[in-house]
Amino acid sequence: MFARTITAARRAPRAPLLGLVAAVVVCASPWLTDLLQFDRTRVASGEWWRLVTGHWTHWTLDHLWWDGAVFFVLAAVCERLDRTLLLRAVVLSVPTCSAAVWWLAPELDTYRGLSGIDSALLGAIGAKVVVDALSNGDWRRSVLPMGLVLAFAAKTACEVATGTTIFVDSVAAGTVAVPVAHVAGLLAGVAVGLAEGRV
Amino acid sequence: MTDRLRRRSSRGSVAALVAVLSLAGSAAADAAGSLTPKGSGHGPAELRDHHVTIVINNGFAKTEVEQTFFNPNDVDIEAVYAFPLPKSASLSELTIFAGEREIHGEVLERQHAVAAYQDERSHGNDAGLSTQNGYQTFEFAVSPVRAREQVRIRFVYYQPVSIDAGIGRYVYPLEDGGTDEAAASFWTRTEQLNGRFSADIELKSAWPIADVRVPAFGADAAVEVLGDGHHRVRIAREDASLAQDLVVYYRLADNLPGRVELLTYRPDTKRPGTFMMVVTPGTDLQPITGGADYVFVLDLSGSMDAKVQTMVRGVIAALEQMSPDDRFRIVTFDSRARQLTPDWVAATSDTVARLTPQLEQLRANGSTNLYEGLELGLRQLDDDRATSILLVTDAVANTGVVDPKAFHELTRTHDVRVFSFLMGNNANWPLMQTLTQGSGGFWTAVSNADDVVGQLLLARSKITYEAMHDVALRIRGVETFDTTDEAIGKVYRGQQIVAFGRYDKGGPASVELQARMTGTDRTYRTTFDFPETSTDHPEIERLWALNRIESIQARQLIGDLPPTEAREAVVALAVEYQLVTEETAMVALADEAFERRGIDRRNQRRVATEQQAQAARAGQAAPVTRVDQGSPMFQHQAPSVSPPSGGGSGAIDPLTGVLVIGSGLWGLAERRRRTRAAQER
Repeated sequence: MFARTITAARRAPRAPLLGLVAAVVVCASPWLTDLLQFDRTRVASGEWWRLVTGHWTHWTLDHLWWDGAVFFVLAAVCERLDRTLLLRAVVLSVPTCSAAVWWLAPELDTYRGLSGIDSALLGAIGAKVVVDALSNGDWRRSVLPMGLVLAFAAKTACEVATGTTIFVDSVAAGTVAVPVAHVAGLLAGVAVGLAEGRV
Repeated sequence: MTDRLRRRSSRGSVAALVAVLSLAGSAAADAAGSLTPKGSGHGPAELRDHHVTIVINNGFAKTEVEQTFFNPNDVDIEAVYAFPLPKSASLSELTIFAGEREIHGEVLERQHAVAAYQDERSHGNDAGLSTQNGYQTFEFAVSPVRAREQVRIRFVYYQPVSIDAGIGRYVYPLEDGGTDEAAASFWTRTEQLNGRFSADIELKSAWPIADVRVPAFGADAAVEVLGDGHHRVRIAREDASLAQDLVVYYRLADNLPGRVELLTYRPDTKRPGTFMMVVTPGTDLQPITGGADYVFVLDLSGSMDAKVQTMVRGVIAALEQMSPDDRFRIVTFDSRARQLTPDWVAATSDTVARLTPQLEQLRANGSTNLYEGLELGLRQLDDDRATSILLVTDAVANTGVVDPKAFHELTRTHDVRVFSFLMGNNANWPLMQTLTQGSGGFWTAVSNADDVVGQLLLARSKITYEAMHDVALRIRGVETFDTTDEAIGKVYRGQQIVAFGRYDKGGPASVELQARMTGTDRTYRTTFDFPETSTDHPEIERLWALNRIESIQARQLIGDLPPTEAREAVVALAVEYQLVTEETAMVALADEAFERRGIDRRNQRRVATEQQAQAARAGQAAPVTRVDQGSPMFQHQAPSVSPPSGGGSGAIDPLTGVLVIGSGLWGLAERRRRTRAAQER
């Protein structure tokens, strides 16, 4: 019994849980959210941490729910596949998504949300599973992840091209979805997944 | 205000000032209303009904006002009605309904129109007259209003309505700003309606309308959504006062493209066409960072009396929101200018706390020496720091230097931006335009009925971002003339460029917008066709003519054009296109009187054409007027006020979320099953 508990604890997705709890705590505190969100003017005046922490801030509970749930599940899958994959995908996607918002969405003063990282995790898992499956000659295993990544990429490309969002209007009054962050995250994740897959 | 808006940036401080100032004039009492000469011995004409129909269709608005006067006296009287002059309004129709008779107006040179009105009035004939009183009011006179009878007047004006950062703002001005002391001493004003005030506002836009607000009318305003870009607002109030402006905001959908829109009118190929081009830049303007200097120049003259305490609270709020890297000075003026702060002061909480009691003791009194106030504000500038002048005034300069040329020269020769917050209707906007344009700043009219948050967001979205400098709009391929100046100067984030002009012949045109941003030159291009003929928007001709007139008057104001030459040009345009200006007036007479006097019925023909086009448009959705779809001029979206307020979000939509989570859980289960199977093997 004691041994089973230790095994279960060892297998618990601690890093995803930690990431999710952080997002929930930040969302519960308007002060923390204001301190940590991506805020262009404040970043420019030296508050660089916002480029990293902004991904863990959210506008509403609904926004947090979908971003957080997807993050938790994908991060758990990622961790189960390879913990370094999770680490690399997050470390690369955080600055990539922030840079994309900074340079490609200059009209935005502020940005919040885990979905850029979610996109990176999806891309990383998809790329790694596909590369692994193909290198093992088991192409059937690559169909679902490849299909998911391609569908997500197509939806995001459509959003970027048309300037409108599909399936979602906004997550809070006065906010707009930023598909360019998803593109950046997805590309970063795919790059990590391909690199991991080759290794 | 949400937390998202409560950002302690120095540029936000300016916006906060605007927000508080928009509440400032609530104590003002004067309004649109009927006027009776003081000491005339007659009771004033009573206002029995006031109805306004407004149609905002893409780039311009048609405002049609109908009101009924009742003469409570036992003798016939002349009814006079004054109405605050809306900005860039071309008064185009005047109709008077007296009993069974209906008489219509024609625009003549002012002295001819006044003489015709007085002559008909002296003979007891039905007559009406509409004149423009400087930048302050339109005045309507109707004679006779028979003893204990009613008379109904109807007038129509057009004005361009531009979109600022995705927000359209229309103002039907009713509140009098109290700046015309001569009129106030001559007339007794009756602003109370002994009947009904109603408004019917129809909004038509080729772009989806996300929201409509009529802040000052609350539950009295019923908003009806008729389609994506089609809303209707109905307002009704009984026994209302005409002391409150009707301000309508409409917000276009987010994520709209930067774009070029074109309205034209050319009924046949024998004469030139007229166009109104609206460019909505979609550009990657960057936010301004680092400390800056601000000079608050505050009007403490008598006409600001009711607004001073709120203005002071606004300044304190603005100072409190500044960054410690910012510095400020405060200059006040009435008949003399003085400094509240002798030198630049760092905007720390200590200095603001120390200055607060001094600010709270400020009182309004005396005349307005605006020039001296500005001159003092422009001293001690630091060449190494960006400086903005924040001028709060009603701009009725009446002491010291009052020549607009001097104001233009004063701001032009200093490296500062002047942002002016112009309080109330009847404020001297031509002077403020001259003054702010000379410095590359802008002026904002603030109505008491304005939405505080809306004004705050609009001002903030301009001041916190870099501007496009040395903007020039050029049209090639199609011969254009009598256009708005090619050199536009500065364009702030969210502002549209509205250009009027005429063209000889339709065909493909290349349009180029040049601008300097962050020290680099950028050129945006597109190509599209000017139509050979187009009959949809005949009103464009009047708007073009008024734009020309305003341009001529602005040049005269700064001494670029001699007064006699300017006057002749204005009269020629105003009579040709039938516009009421300071040099022309509209006289309404019976058909036989026009015929007897040999007056050409230009306006009758023009109105018939306009009404025909309006009838054709009435049943249709707003036409798509964008002309650069095939070759977009801008790659970026047009800025809107929503993103700065709410920002962007990485959002996973529910469908994607369910799919991804389901697949992930399935993947985990599958992996566990495989691991177990491998262990069992």
